[in-house]
Parts: sequence; structure tokens; C-alpha cells
Amino acid sequence: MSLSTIGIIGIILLLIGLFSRMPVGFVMALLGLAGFSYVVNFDAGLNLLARDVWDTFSSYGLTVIPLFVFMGQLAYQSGISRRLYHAAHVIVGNRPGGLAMATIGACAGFSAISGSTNATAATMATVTIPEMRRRKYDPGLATGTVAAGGSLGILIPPSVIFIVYGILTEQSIGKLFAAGILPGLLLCSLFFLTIYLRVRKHPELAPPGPKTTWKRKIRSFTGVVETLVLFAMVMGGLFFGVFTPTEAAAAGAFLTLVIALLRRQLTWQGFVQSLSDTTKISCMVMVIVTGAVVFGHFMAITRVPFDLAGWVGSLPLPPHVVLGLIILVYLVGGCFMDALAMIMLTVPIFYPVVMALGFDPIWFGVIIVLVTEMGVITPPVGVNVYVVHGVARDVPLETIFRGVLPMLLAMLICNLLLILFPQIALFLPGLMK
Amino acid sequence: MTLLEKTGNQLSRILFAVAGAAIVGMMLLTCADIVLRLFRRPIPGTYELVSFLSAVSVAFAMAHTSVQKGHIAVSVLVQLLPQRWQALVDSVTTSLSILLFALLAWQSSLYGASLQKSGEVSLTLQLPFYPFVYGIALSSAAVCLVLLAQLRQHLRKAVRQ
Repeated sequence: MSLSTIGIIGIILLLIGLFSRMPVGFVMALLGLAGFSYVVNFDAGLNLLARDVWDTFSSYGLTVIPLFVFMGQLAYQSGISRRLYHAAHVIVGNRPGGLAMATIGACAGFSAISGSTNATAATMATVTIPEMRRRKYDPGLATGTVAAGGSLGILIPPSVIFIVYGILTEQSIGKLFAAGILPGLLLCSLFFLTIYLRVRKHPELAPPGPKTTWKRKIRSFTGVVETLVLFAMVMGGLFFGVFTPTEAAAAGAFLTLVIALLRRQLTWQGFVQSLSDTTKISCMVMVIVTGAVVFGHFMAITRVPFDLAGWVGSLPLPPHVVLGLIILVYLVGGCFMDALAMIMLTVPIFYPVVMALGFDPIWFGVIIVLVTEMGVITPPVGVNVYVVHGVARDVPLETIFRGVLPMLLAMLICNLLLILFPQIALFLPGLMK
Repeated sequence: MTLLEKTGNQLSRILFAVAGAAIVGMMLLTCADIVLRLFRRPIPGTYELVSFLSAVSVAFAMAHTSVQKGHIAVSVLVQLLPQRWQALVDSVTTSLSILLFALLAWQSSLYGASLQKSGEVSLTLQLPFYPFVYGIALSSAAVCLVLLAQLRQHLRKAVRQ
């Protein structure tokens, strides 16, 4: 059997294995081990497994993951998410659809301290849905808004997906973070616009709330200050090269802890809970990363990714058509798979292709994060939709998916804008040294 | 609850607590280093220590994450099958996972032993690598225990109905 045949069989087995309900990381590690052993020999395969696991687990670059996750969990347990929503609510709540917009705003705020889309959706769903329901918002609009708003979690830094992408492709995590900010704000505005247009057409979806005074608006703004300070310190330190990503994450987690303690809003149970969730989430992420590293080593000796890159590069198609096809793969794949698993699996294969076509690596990172995020809210495996459903049990899944549809359109437009104007993503990283 | 399950759960909970402590340790150590750096007194070897702590935090959390079914898996297709078939598929995949972690436990202990023999240490602090690699072996063995208990349940479901 030729090496490429073995590689392609490996990919097919991987697809089968992924759908067998075996943990994604385990499947990749096992197949990587089997494939490498088949090509070289069993001893070499076993050696590779032990080394890859140790190297990945003890990689300094990846230590940033548990620390950023910890920061988000602490923020949640200490009620920062609630205060953000309260502020947004007071400021725009009296406009038609204001609460939904407040939800998006609070999601964006929380994204600035949380690196995970599911965590953002889960956190903000618990905080915002009861309030929107109380004000007689349409359940579809309420739940769809949170599910989509959660996707800002990995676009606006810090973002676990950007970290993993950066490590896989050896790109600067700081630059990737910077590249996510403007597209994140753009998507946020597009979400606002979507809600505005929808509510203008169907005012019954979102009854306006009572008016609030300017004085209250200004006072409620203090709820946002802590988040702004945290974001400024963490991202500022990162952009200006004062911190490495790990240091920024450690400082961010520590500051969040200090704020929580000063406000006397973190109980011992809350602390233990946040630590326990952090440990579990980061272990889950690292196991997938490790599995992908082992599988990636198998792929590398079969040379399939490079052959594929060469083949696609020589196709008589314009680069943007190839890019469109790749995006289609992410869209379809994202409907079935978790965003992280999807990226770990495909980046090693598509990255060389995209580079061969002459696209910018940082820009491509932003594009695929956005595209996989669309997958996170489309059926049948829209993880965020399930997360929101878990919080609002009485709203049927179909209703949430229907509520998400207009938001998906906004994401599609955001994507097109990014492809037409790569500068939206590349402007900020360009300012960095 | 069987003895196997009990032992597995207890062991994984102890390891999990160590993993959590390692994350707090990473945070405190890194912050202390940042602050002391301002006074031109950085903590030597922070880089290495944080890497080691991270290895502990991931490895020791693996078993508990398995107990809590915290690992991401795609169940869209399998959940369409009848119960019994689901249990069969789960039995097969759990057996494969046990195989993977048994091999990992075995290989990590060999790898640890070879690092111990060659006396490999970290750059700044001269800390030996091998205890941490043995840690991975230990936690992989704990994952095997947890998965064995799960396999027993899957098999029972597959046979009983």
C-alpha cells in the first residue's frame, strides 16, 4: 500500500470513529498510534504516543488555556456576568428589542473575559433568558439571541480556539487575539441590526421596557467598569508585549479573583466550583489537542496534507473558489462537530493549502473561527443551542433553531465582509510589533 | 456501586484535587513572577515549573473528567440506534479506550524509567523530568480503572435486554 493510501484510510477510519460516541481525543490518539505503528513499527508508535502526551501536557504555550478558562469561570461565579447584563439592560432596555440587544452587548462583554463559546452561551443564558421571558419576549427571539451571542465568546479575545490555532500554525496568539476584536464588534453590530429590523417588523416579539433616567444609566455603567479594566489590563499587556499570553491569562485570573473578593461576591463553594469546572474543561481541551498531535504525526509521515495542498494548489481554480470550498467543508462539518475538534482535525490539512494559495494566516484563523461558530448554532449538533435549551427547558429545540436563523444570516454577512475586506481583521494586528 | 467503581471514583477524585491545586499554583507562581520582575527579581525557573504544573493539571484530571463524561464525543448517530446496539457500540469503543490508556500507562512508565536512568533534568532548576512522566502513567492507569467500571455497565446493558 502506498503511503497516501494509508493516510486516506486513516482519515476515513477517523470519520467513522468520530461518530461512534468515543471521545474525540481518544479516537485521534488511538488512530494516530495505529497508523504510525503500521507505517514505521509498533515500538516507534508506542514511543511516539508517550512522548507526544508528555510534550503536549507540559507545553508552556498551552498553559494559557486553563488560566483563561479559570478567569471566565471566576467571573461567572462572582456575578460579573449579571452586572454586565444589568448595565446593558438599563442603558438600552427601553428601546424596542432593547433587552435582546442588551443580551448581545453583555455577551460581547463577557466574551472579553471568557475564552469559550459554550461557557459564554451557558452563562449568559442563565442570566438573560428569565429576564426576557418576564418581559414577554418571544421565546424564539430570546433563546436565539443568547445562542448566537455566545458565538462572540471565541471571536472576541481571549479565545481558546485562537490559542489552539496559533499553536498549531505557529502564529502569534497576541496577533490572533487582536485580529478577533474588530470582526467581533462588527458581528455584534450586525446582531443589533438584525434584532432591530426584526422587531421593527414584528413589534409583538419584543415589548419595550419602562424608560430609565440618564442618572440611572450612568450609575449602572459602574457594572461595566470592572470588565473594561480587566480587558484593558489583560489585552493591553499582551498587545504591548508586556506579558506573554500565559502571563496575561494568569494576571487576568488573579485580578478577577481579587475583584470578586473585594466585592465579597465569591463564596468558598463558588471558588471550588469554578476551579473544578476549569480543571474539567481544560482537561477536555488538552485531551483533544493531544489526540490531534498524535494523529497529526501520523498524517505527516503519510504526507497526505502536503500532497493535498500541492494538488489543490495546482487546480485550475481561482484561490477564492478553493477558499469557498474549504469554508463549505467547515460549515457542513461544524453542523456535526464541536468547533475545537473540527479545527484540530482540519487545520493541519487545510492550512498548507491556504498558505499555498497565498492567503494571510491570521486572517484565515479569523475566518474559520467565524465559520465554525456558525456551525455551533446550526442543527443537528448546534452545541450552543443545546446549552441554551438546557437552561430554558420549556422552549423546544425547533423554536431556538428558528430564533437563531436570522442571526446566522448576520454571521454570513460578517463572513462575506471579512473576505471582501481582510483589513477588518488585519488592521489591529498590523499595528503590533 | 461495585468495588471497582468505588476505587476508581475515589482515586480519580484525589487526583482531580491535585490537578485543581496545580492550576491555582500556576496562576500564583506566574503572578508572583510578574510582580517580582518589576523589582528585577524574577523567580528563576518559572517557565519550567509552570509547564510541569500544567502537565500535572491535565494528567491528573483525566480520570475524573472521564467519570463525569466530560470528554467531547459525537453522539448524533449512535443515539439513533436501539438501546442494545448503543450499549454494544459503547462496549467496543470503551474497550478500545482502555487499550489506549493501558498502552499509555505502560509506555509512560517505560519513558519515565529511561529519563530517570539518563538523569535528564530541566534547564534552570535541574528538576528531574521522570516523576512527572510517572505521574502520567499513574493517571492513565486511573483512567483504565474508571473505564473498566464503565465497560462493565455497558456490557450488562448489552446482555440484559
